[in-house]
Amino acid sequence: MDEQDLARRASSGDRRAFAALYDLHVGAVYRYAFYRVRTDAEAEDVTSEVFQRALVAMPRYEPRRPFLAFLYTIARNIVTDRLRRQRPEASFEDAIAHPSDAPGPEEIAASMDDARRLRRAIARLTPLQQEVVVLRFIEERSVKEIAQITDKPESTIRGLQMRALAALRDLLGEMRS
Amino acid sequence: MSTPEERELSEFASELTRYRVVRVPPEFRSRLRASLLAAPVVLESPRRSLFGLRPIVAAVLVLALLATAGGGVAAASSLPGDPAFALKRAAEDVQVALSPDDISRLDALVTQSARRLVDLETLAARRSSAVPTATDEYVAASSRVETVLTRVAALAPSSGRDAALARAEGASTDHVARLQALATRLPDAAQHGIQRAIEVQQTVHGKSADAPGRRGAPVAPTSAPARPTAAPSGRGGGPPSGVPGRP
Repeated sequence: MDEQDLARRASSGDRRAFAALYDLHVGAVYRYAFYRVRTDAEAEDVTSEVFQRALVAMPRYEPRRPFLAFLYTIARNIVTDRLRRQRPEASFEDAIAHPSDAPGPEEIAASMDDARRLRRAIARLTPLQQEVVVLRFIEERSVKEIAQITDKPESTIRGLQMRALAALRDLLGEMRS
Repeated sequence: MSTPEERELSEFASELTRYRVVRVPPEFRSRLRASLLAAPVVLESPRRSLFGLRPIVAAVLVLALLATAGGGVAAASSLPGDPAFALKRAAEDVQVALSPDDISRLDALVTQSARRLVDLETLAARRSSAVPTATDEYVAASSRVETVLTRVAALAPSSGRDAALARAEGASTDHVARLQALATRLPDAAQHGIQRAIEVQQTVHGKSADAPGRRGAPVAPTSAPARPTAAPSGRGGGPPSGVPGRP
């Protein structure tokens, strides 16, 4: 059974079909959440919320659209809401302008895991740069897909890629030093 | 890619793919899967809002109506049964439709059901003929709370979810107590409606207290009356069971 069939069945309330979709995509949704929020616990919260919302919203899912894009859109909205409610992280520009905002050496030393360090650097990018880095370079989604998920023109995404990469590279370098 | 800078960035980009190693914690993965299979869920119907319009259009329309009809003040102070009340309700529906998620939606609906209770108390004191209409509006508002609360309770435990459920639970305890007090002042003809309202609030209370993952045992509303078994009329004038203070 292909993804569209599963989605159709899930839309009519077939919970096992939804569970099969969950199995296919939970990894990608969790990774997206992992790199867009500050802690592992928050990533779990976001992942739960994505699938709970998707389950409830299945009747509104448009089957022509890739199911993962539907999930990413929900995830993006949840992350955006959370960021709005939280005290915002400094943007990359702020981080450069105010080096004291960067994590201190002890904090960096405490972060033993590469992925978590990358997450901290990503958190200092602008929200759209974060989307591009996570979806384009970690998840390897196409520019077209990212444009659909973020509701931005493809040209904007294309134009942003290199700036986002350069910003992330500089931040990682700054954190290492 | 031609400049050294671009080549360097391209290499850096290819390094990033190794960060896909992040995996979902297995325990969390199976727990969430199980909850998705088992949780009670009310599926949304295809998006509809006021008059079948998109929420933002409906919002503009309601705001325009409130402004141009000069009915803003009248609507805001209207009570169930008043002509302007429909406009007030429409504005409330828009507020719910524009809520970003079910947790915010639940908060909005709990607030609205509290307003309906104030309306009911006001009409019980001023215009008893309107009490059945006010009771129906209150029951409808409480049922909307119950519907969304079912969805919120099915969400994975989180501080936001639990806080919203606690607010709904606290409100339902307060509502049950006030409805019980109201019941002692209303005639027999109104008792059935009030008991119906109490039942809905007891359901709201039970669902919010029993939501999976919430701390502590469910707490029953204080002095909650037993469920009525009698019809509104033909009860021989006896008090509905559990309504305190009635002769």
